[in-house]
Amino acid sequence: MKKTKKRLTYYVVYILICLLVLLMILPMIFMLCSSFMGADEVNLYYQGMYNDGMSNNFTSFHLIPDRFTLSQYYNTMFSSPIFWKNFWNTIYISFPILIGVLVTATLCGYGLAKFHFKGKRLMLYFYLIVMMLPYQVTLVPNFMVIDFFKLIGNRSAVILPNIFTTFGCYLMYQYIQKIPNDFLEYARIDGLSEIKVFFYIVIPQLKTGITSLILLNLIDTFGLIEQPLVFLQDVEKQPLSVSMAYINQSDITIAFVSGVIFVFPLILTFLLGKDSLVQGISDTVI
Amino acid sequence: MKRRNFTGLAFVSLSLVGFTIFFLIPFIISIGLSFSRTVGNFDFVGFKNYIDLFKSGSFKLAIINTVKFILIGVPLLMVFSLLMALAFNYLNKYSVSPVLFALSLIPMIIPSSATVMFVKIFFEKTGVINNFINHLGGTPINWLNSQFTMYILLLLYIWKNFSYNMVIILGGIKSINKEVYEAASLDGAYGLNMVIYITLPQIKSFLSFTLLLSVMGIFKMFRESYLLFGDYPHESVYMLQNFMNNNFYSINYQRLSASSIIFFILISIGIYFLVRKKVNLERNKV
Repeated sequence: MKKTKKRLTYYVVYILICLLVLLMILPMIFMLCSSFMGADEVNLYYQGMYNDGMSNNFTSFHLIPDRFTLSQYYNTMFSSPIFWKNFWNTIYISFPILIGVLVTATLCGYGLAKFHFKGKRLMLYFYLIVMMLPYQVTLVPNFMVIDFFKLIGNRSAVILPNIFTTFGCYLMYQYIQKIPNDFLEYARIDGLSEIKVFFYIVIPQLKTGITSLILLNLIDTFGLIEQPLVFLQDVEKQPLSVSMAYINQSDITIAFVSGVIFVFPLILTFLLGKDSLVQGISDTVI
Repeated sequence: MKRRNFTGLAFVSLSLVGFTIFFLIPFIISIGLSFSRTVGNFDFVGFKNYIDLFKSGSFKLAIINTVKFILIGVPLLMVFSLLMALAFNYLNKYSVSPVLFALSLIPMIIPSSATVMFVKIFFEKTGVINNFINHLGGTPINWLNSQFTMYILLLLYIWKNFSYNMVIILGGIKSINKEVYEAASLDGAYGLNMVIYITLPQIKSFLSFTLLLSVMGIFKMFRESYLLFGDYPHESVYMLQNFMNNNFYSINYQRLSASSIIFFILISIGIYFLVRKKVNLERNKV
């Protein structure tokens, strides 16, 4: 009797969770399925998007395409002039940020974790607070500095402040704290200079930390909206995250494929590093 | 000891320099700006900007809405994340479902622009949901510009943030010592009792961190809100972030700086209480 009750509970929970997870990834499935519809089919079923709610034409729930076609992919990739420029902008912004964060965060995390110096506690405290602040609060200070360096309108205006975000430093700080001090002591006794200790002892131990930092950083930089909106007025220079939001108004027939191609690198890196991601999130608990 | 001090500082220097240039110095300038009347020349007017801020109707509306959002949204999110974490913990005990777990992490990865597209398709006045309602014979609801807007935003908030919280809570549950469970079951605890009286108290620190993250997550909802509703959303979702953003675009930097400073102080107090315990523990260790 008890065993069947246990089994029943298990299956109920399992099915419930399955349904919930399905609901969670519904946007993705929707986007993927709609990306295989031809332009005429999109126009037929998504009438509601064009009329601004004025008329009685509704958007219907149309998941499986009537006619499975790749024409939307073709249109987006080869006929849309601005799409690849925006995609390239996203890469142009994300990649330098990633490399900059890796270098800055590991160095800073090592210094914070394994050394004591005056003002360390104050620095940690400040870094933690700035990490928690939303973009609006730091936007005006950022704007003033970028204006001072005359970088407004240049994509570096978005790259530079994001390299020095404190989240990476804090993540590395947590990870490097876990490395036993003895390893470093042995290396120093053996005569390695501090820089060599950093490169040959600390970095190899940080594989999980670095993977989770890469992933979390990519998620952040692919979704930047406030900063490009403020610092990059020119449509040619905006990343995909901003331009995608306005594709709905301009041309919905390519909106779905844009979404799929936009999310694709993130999903790929996520699949490769999801264990490190989970580990990284659990390890950044204060 | 002296050499150690210098090495630590050397490693941290890169991050510190960037942090100072892009966050610290402009923040100090911002503090000064909040006490001045004009942006160009520093014209000290004492706390006039702050007093004007508290008299401003839009600021009061923003604060009320933000507080309402926090009071409703954060408990909902915490409960949902907790339930999902407990459910996954329960499922993991009987079989390994890594695919399900990985899928439930996806909402965290998808950038705001992609989800906004999906929300528009479903919740526009001529969207899918209204189509369904129309077929059933009811009147379509204006989801994106009425009293229901807050619920849509809440739904988006929970959808986007529960993965991160769930991972943290799961990490906490996994770190509970097995012996505690054994001792409790010896005393006669089982099932639901076990969860309420044993699991929850043990993960209190994780729950408090999740609480902080959830509150921060409310402020990050600005992205979705801006992409969906523009500069001036419905009055029930006009939050602090919208207020700051509008002030930014109307070049009212003084008011913006004043509200940023208030924000900063509030967060500092919150973080201070959170970190105080951990810093004391570390002091005893060193």
